[in-house]
Amino acid sequence: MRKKKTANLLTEVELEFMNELWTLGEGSVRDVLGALPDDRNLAYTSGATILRILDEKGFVESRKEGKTLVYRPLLEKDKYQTRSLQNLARTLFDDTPATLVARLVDTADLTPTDLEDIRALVERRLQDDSDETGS
Amino acid sequence: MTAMKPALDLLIDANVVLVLAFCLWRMTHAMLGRSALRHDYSRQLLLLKLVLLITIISPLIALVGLTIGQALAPKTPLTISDIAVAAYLRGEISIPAVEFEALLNTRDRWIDAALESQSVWMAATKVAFALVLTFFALRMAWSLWRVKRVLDGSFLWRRTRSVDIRVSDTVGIPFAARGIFRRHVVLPSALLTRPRELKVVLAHEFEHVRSGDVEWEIAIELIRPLLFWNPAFFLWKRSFDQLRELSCDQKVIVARRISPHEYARCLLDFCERRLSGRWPRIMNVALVRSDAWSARRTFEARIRAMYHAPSGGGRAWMCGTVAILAVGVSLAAASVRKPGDWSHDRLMLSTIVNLERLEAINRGN
Repeated sequence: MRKKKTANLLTEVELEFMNELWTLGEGSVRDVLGALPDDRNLAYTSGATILRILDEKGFVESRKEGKTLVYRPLLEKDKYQTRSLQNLARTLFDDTPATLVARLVDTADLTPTDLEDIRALVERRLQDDSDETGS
Repeated sequence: MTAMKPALDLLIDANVVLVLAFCLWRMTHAMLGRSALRHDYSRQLLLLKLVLLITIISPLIALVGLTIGQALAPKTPLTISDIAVAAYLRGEISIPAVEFEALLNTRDRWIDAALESQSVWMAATKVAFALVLTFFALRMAWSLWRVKRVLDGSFLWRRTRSVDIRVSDTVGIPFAARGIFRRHVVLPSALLTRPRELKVVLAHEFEHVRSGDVEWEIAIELIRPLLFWNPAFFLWKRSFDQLRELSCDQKVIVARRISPHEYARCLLDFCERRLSGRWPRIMNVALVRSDAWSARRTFEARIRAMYHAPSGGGRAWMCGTVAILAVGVSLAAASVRKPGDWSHDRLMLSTIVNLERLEAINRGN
């Protein structure tokens, strides 16, 4: 069995492919290429290589169906979002996630509803933490 | 120390021959600029490679040439020092024999002084030499290690009989390298999604592999620690790098019918990316280099050269130039060689020196 090469983060192209796989649930090379925008115009061999690399990195797993390889994500999208944010906070925001949130709130084009949702999320998290401390 | 003397002698000979060979090459290159081979960069590169090979084997050619020369014309002086001795004996050089002999033995005296001297300056020079040599050796090892790390972390895409095409997340510029058994073309993974650039890059790197440019790069870098103090070596390397890229670009454009405009745009795109990344400058042949001080000039030369197709013919020029260069470099190598034994002229000179010394002693009494 080929040795897996570990990688924490996806490259830009891999992320594009993973997004399609997360949407499809699972799919072959042709399924993923078909789901990409029309102007992408990728060769089959390039798509197959990118999926094989994702397999070697352990982000997806593959199984054979007849002559076709079908790929399925091993990593859930929200888990990757967490990992990606942690990496962003560590590398760009001096390991202080609060600064990342502050920057997001200050500069992102957030509606009052978005801000209310964020407040609700923060309050819920604070409530959960105090319940855990109390018990 | 005595054991080191032949090695030091050989090193000095190699450096002198390199300088002479480079001067010959520059003159030849200037002549090529006015010939049918003016825009034929692949033949110019072939010529440069031949001159390098001739320079490397020139001590052997010189030895054979001297042996044959001495057999055919035993009394004809062939090395610079023998020619000078003959001129002295004919009375064309008018200085005392003792001084002339000392002048002839200057190199031997300097080597002996360098090997046996206990002075602080000489010790400092030796330490500085050893430090710079170590620096270049370490730089080579570090570059090899970096290339190996990239290869280990890359993914095999396709495999031909002798070349692995690999895809890597950690490189921004495609390059060709080699391991012990196989050669590798490494592509940035993002390139897989740009088919037009991919075609240009693959053609370029495979041309480097076909021409043996990776092996030449490694061989030249392996001898750098021994020749680092010789400016001719750096000038050789610069000419070699430039001709290698011009030749590769030209071959790819002609053979693959890629438009120079498209090719230049691809190079420019990678040049921009190269500026933002760190990558070992040696032990690999990259698509573009932006680390050298002459990178901008080299890039301009590459763009200009793309619009010139090589003219056919010029075979007679090639053969003639190779023959002249071979003879020139071999003569240069033969002329700097130390004479093998005592010739008749040398014995005469030694006798005159001894007579002068005896006269000086007699005068003193």
